[in-house]
Amino acid sequence: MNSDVILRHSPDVAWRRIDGLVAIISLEANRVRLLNRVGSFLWERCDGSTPEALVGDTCARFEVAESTARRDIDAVVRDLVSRGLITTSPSGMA
Amino acid sequence: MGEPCVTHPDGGYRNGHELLAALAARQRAPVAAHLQVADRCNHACAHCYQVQGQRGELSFEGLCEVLDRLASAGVLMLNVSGGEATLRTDLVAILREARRRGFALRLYTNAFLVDDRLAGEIAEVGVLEVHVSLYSDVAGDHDAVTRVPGSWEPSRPRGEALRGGGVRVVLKAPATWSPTPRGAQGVERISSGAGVRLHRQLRDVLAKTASRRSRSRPDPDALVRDGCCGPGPPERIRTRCAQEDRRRVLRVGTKSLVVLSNGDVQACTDTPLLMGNLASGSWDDVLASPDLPLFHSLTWGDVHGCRDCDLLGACARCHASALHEAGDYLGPYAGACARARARYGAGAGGLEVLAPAEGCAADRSALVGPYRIEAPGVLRPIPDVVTAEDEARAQRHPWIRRGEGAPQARLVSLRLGRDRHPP
Repeated sequence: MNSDVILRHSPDVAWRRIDGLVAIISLEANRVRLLNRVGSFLWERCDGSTPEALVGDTCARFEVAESTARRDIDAVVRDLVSRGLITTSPSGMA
Repeated sequence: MGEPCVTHPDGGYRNGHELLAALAARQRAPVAAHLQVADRCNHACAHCYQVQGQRGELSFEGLCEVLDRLASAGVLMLNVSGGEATLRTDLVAILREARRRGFALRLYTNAFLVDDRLAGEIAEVGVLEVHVSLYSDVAGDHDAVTRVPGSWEPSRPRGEALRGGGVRVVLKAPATWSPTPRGAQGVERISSGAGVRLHRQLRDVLAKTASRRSRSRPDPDALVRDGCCGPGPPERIRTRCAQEDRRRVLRVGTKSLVVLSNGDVQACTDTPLLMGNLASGSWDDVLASPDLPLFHSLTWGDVHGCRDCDLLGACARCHASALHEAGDYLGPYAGACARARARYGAGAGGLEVLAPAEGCAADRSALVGPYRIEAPGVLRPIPDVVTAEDEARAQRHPWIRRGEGAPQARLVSLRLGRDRHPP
């Protein structure tokens, strides 16, 4: 995953933070997904952010090595993209 | 109900229903709401328990305020219905505002007014599902339920128009019509042919007037005989009545609340308890309702009679119907007992009901539980034990009981015929 792409929530999702965790419903897939604490933290920053910025935010918020955070965030973002929950666009584009 | 399937990194939930219910339980507040945007209907369905034209409707701006409050409260799933929601000319704008606030939307409609243009606009907004009520694959049977001649002819193709626009359509087939539930079977044939999901509704459809009540209740034996209601395997029924079942929480008023067309909030569409008003008040008022904790704490062990009944596993009782029919929200009632007996009898290969057991009241009817299974296919009515705790609960929440059953609501349904159909 290119670290400077812009991540955005897909227009085909509905989501809420409920009792500290983010629940996402994919309108296309008709599925609901509940993220864990770290996933919820990342999701809320996924709208207009870059993977690189997520790494910085995560390291500032959690006790985690930067290399570990980068690897895990890359996996999470790829997973969310593959499920159609977030979209990517080249940085610099609206 | 077709709750979305769930995926969760840690697993542990069988479906979206369970996940959303667990979230609601964790925050002790609903995560779903049913919003009635119209206080009118263009059908006059024989089974419908709604009384139209008395509450009034919120303006578009008023509804937007309600949507704001629901979104702030953490509500994620929003069912939009009426009355008939498509009678509002601003329906698409309402749906659009709801999506803008992040809700996952379901629209409930009879599709009578859904033309290609409206179908396209609904698709463009982006909804999770549109539920279309259809009562039969035979026009006359459908129209006999809706009591609007010619109502079947446009409803069916308009469901197709929604599908054509890329909307996920769910056909709803309430089993409401006596003497047989053949309508539900017909709708099943349509759904199979069209490849759309069918949602059968076998819950009580108790009309609010005594004269309509007997007409609208499906015959339980016919439901089972015609395959609309599964027989209950006796061994499963006994298992379901284990002690842990008594600790299982009732779902009403927990995962979802209903917002009526004037903003009033209830636990369900037919539970006559006002918990607040989202047009004039706040969500905090609803959360402060002394009845919300009651709903979150109610278990099967709080339903007298039913908690002692061996047929609990075959029962699909509706608490509001219990109140309307028997005057006790948390007690047994004949309609649910009849269906439970029918399911159990079908599973057991026959049914015999013995004389009530010793200790039953002298006027005890054998048509109402609780029952004890004496032998396979043999039931005996046993005492309906009401404890001091039950009585204390009823005193704290007086609406739970009505001594003489449901009030006879005046029917003010608007019966709009095809002459009101827009060009």
